[in-house]
Amino acid sequence: MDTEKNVYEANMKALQLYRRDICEKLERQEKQKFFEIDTCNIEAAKDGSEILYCSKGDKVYYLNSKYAPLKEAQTWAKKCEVKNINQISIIFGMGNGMFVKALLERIPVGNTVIVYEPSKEIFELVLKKIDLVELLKNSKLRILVSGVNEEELYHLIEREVNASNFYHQNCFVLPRYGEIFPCEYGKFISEMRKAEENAYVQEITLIGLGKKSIKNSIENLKYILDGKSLKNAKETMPPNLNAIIVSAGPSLMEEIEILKKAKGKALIIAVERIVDLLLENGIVPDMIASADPIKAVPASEKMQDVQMVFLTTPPCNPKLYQKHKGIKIVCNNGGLYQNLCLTTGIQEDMVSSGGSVATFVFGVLISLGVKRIILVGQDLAFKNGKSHAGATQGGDPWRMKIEVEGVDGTTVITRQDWAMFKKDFEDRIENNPDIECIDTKNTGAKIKGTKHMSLAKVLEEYCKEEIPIQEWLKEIESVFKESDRKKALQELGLYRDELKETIEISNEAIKLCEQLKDEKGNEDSVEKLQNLTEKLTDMRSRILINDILYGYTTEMQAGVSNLESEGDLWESTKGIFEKTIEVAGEMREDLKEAIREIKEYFGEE
Amino acid sequence: MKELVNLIEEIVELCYQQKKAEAYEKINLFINEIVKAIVELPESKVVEINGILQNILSAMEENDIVAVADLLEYELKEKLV
Repeated sequence: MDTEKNVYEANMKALQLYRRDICEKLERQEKQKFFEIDTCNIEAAKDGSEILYCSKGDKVYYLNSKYAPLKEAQTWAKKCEVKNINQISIIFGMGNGMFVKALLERIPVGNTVIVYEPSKEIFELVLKKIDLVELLKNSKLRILVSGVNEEELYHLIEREVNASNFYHQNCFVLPRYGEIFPCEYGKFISEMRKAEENAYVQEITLIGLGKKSIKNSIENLKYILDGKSLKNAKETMPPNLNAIIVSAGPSLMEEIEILKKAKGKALIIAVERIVDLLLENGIVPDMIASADPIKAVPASEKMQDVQMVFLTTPPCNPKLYQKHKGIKIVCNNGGLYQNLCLTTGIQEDMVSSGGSVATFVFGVLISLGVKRIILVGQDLAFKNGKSHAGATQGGDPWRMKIEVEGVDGTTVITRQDWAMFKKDFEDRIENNPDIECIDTKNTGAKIKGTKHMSLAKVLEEYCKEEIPIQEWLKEIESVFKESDRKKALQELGLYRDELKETIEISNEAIKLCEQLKDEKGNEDSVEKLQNLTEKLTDMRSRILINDILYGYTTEMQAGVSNLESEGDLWESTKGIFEKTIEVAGEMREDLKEAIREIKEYFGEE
Repeated sequence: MKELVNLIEEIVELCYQQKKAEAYEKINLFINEIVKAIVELPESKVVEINGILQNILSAMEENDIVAVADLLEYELKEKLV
C-alpha cells in the first residue's frame, strides 16, 4: 500500500513539475462516469510487470501481453522506428506507458511523440499504480488525455507540423485501443486531420507569401515611418467605445440599412473587400482594414474622397497603401517593425494578424482595450451558394467544403480556411473573457463564445450616444518622431551594409562546402563553416531574409532523408548559401530604393 | 520442428506489431505444418498441443492477436523443442 502511495505521489510531483497544465486540469475536474469502458484495472503479468485490462459489457480486454509485456512493447516499437529528423509520431493510447517508453527509446533527438489517451480513468489508474516519472519528464513527449486536455490536440499538431515534416508523420494505435474506443478514435482521427490540413495551409501560405510579405514591408517603409500609434490610440480612446467589425459575408446585405445608424455611435471598421459596397450604399466606415500582401485594391474612386483611417500591417499590398489618402495606423507585426521599435526605443504592442483581416481587426481591438466587439457579416459560411455579400457566385470552387454548426442550430457549409478563422475567433474570445463579443448575423457558422443579437437590438441597447470618434482618430500621435526616423534610417543603412557582408560570408561558405564535398569530413572546414553560419545568424538584417530562406530550406529539409551521401549534404548546404546570396542581393537593392523614397517622402537629404 | 519454431518466432513478431493480415497468413501455414508434424509425437503431447491450438483459435475468434502470440511463444513453443 505504501509503495502504491509513493508511486502516486512521485507521479503527481512529476506532473506538477513537468505537466502543470494536466495537473491543474485534473484537479479541477469532477469525477466523470466511465465512457466506452465499464471498468479498468491492473494485474501482474507472468514476468512480474504490471499490465492493464478493462471491461466493456461482458468482455474483458487485456491491453498488454499477459506473459511478456516488455518484449511485446519493444517488438511493437521496432515497427515504429523513425529515421527522419524532425518527425512527429502520434500514438492513440498511452496505456501503462510501456509502448510509449519503448518508442521514445528508438527515436532520434529533435523528434516529437504526441500521445493521446482516450480514457481519463485509465490515465488516473496508471498514475496511481505505475511509475511514470521518467515518461512525464521526457521533453520529446506531449501527453493529451481525453476529458482533461484533449482540446490541445488541434493546436499541438498545428504547431508541430511544418513543411519539413508534413510527409514524415506516423500515427500508431496501441493494441486493442481502436476496438475498445471507437468513438474516441473517430474523434481523434477527425481532429488530427483537421489540424494537419490547417497546419499545411498555413505553412504553404508562409512559404508562398514570405517573399511578398518582406518585399511589401520594405516598399511600405515610408508609410510605416509616417504611421500613427496604436499605443497612443489606446491611451486617448473615448471611454465605453463599442466597435463593429464589418466583414463581407452574404448576411451583410440584410443589415446594411441598420448599419448606417451606427455611424458616430460605434467605431465602424470595414474589411477592405467590402469598402466599395459600403461606400456605394452611403456608409463611410471609420476605418478600412487590410493585412493581406496580395489582396486586390478596392476599385471605388470614392475611397480617396472620404475620411477613413487605414488600419494595416507592414506586409499589406503597397497599392492599397498608395491608394488610401490620410491617416494610417500600421500595426507592429514583429520582424522588421519590431526591430525599428527596438532601435528607436519605441514601444508598440505587437498584434497577431491571425488568418483573416477580421481576426486581425479583432486583435487590434483587444490591444486597444475595446470591451464590446460586434461582428457584422462574419458569416464564415455559404448562403444560398454565395460566399460574399454582393457576390454573383460561390467563389474559389477549388477549396474544400465542410459542414459546421450554424448560428441557428442547423448545419451550414463552410470552407476549410473559414473554419480555421472561426477557430481563431473562438480562441481569442476564450482567452479574453472580459470582452463581450456579439454576433449579429441570422445565418452562417456559429462562433462559440459570442452572444447572438440582431444589429438593430445592439444599437438600441449599447450604441445610443454620439461619440467623438473622428476627433479621436484625427488626434492620434505618430509612432516615429523626426529623431526616431533618423535613427530608423541609420538602422536601414546598417542592414544594407550587413547584407553586403552576408553575400561575402556566403561566398566564403560556398568555397568551404565545395572543399568538404571533395575532402569529406575535414573537421577544420566544418568548424569554419559553423562559425560563418553563426555570424550570419547573429546579424540584425537577418530579419529581411529569414522568411524567404525558411521557405527554401524547409522544402530542402523535407528531402534530407533522401540524401544518399555526405557529398549530397554539402551540395544541398551550398544551395542554401547560394540562395542566401540571391535573396540578400535582392533585399539590398529594395532597401536602397526604400531609403531613397523615405528621404523623398519626408523631404530630407 | 526447428522450422516450426522459427515460424512461431516470425508470427509472434508480426502479432506484437499488430500486422494482423500477415500474421494470420503465417498462422494458417503453421497450422497446416503442425498437423503434419505432430503425428510423430506421443499421444499425451498431441493432446496438450491440441488443447493449446484450441486456445489459439479462440483467441483468434476474440480478435486478440497478442494472446495468439503469447500462446504460441510461451505455451506451444516449449512443447516443440
